[in-house]
Amino acid sequence: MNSPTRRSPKRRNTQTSPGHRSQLIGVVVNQSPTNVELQKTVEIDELINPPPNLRESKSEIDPPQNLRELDSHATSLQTLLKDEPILPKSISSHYRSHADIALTNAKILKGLSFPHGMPLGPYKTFEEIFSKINDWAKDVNTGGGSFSIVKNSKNAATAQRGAARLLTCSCAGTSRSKLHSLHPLDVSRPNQKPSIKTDCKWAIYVEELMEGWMVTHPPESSIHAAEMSENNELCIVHNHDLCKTEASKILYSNLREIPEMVDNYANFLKKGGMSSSMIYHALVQECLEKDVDVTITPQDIRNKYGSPASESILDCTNLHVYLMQRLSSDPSLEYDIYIDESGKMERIFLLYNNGCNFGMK
Amino acid sequence: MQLWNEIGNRVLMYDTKHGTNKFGLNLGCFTTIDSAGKSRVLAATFLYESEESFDWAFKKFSFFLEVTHWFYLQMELSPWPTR
Repeated sequence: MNSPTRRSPKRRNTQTSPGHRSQLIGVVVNQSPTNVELQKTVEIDELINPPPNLRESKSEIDPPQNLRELDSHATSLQTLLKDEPILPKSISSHYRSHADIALTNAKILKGLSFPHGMPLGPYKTFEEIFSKINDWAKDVNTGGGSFSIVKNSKNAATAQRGAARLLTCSCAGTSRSKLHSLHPLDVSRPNQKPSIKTDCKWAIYVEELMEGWMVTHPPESSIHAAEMSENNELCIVHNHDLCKTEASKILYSNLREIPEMVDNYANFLKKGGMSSSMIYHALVQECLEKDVDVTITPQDIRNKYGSPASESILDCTNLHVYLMQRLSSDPSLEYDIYIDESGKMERIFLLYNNGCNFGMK
Repeated sequence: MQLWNEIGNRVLMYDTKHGTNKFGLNLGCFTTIDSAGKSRVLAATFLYESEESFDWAFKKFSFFLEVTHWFYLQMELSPWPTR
């Protein structure tokens, strides 16, 4: 209902919504974001029933009729491909370019730079750039030591830029002890490990640009923390010590890595249906046989090869055979199975080891 | 607690857990407490929850473990609260 005080007619949103974008196909005239208004849009209806001028131009790209034409057609395609870079399919006209980022960074970074050797991109996918930066971070010889990064918030693509993700150091965030001092818990957890969070300000944005996924800039708080730090050359710094040796990495679960050789073996065992605890024991045995240092824990194996609860339901397919074998080896382990009229196994009773010797008699 | 200490391992608990295997049979464990206060699983069943099945399970338990006298104490648990 209209407000009684409203006199002007209800305003309507004249901007094209993101949903409406699927109805339009942009033809790029100039890829700069400042010239978005120059982009010409063609309605889908026009594409289905093109105007006469478009129909005429269509004949120019008709397939060649004979071999000579085919040869010249291929040559012209080659020249086109040489001139224009091949962009991924996901590249759209509203993405920023590397040049735009360089201009923006000149103002934002205030003369500071990214760490030496840090992979900045471009990479085809977000997962690729994440793994490249994580590998670089975990290497003790680069970036001043070993640390790991985690995925933080994500910003969806807008009309002016592509999708962006914030990557932070795994120590970013408020430590649990600080949180508990603010909101004390009644339940004490003696086995709880201390928090690794140190409120580290090492963080970077990665964004989908026209060239692919690239590191763009750190958040403002990270730059401010870097300016305040002793190292005034880098735009992102840690506020905690980094692991300087391979041996010290073993202490931290996020820095531990399963050797590639053992990883393939573990994947093979998992496909065979082995549980994570059995995989762990098999991997330890494999490492000992091949003189590889055992740098894995049962928790690492559970995290990587463990099955979800939905898959770990008890399989009692061969239970009857197993119970028969158990009884033949130990006569005290008795059992009984009730089968209904249709031959379906309906009830099973089995004694546990030493169950019948345990005081109930 | 005093009564619990006196009767000790003469107490037997039996409860079934829902949907623990792919055949839909419910796993039920006969559990007691030893003199050291530790839980001990004596026997287990796989069955569909029905009065007839439970009767069968207790009869089997009595038969194998030669239990002659039973005093039942049935505890009905309230269903999970729905949001």
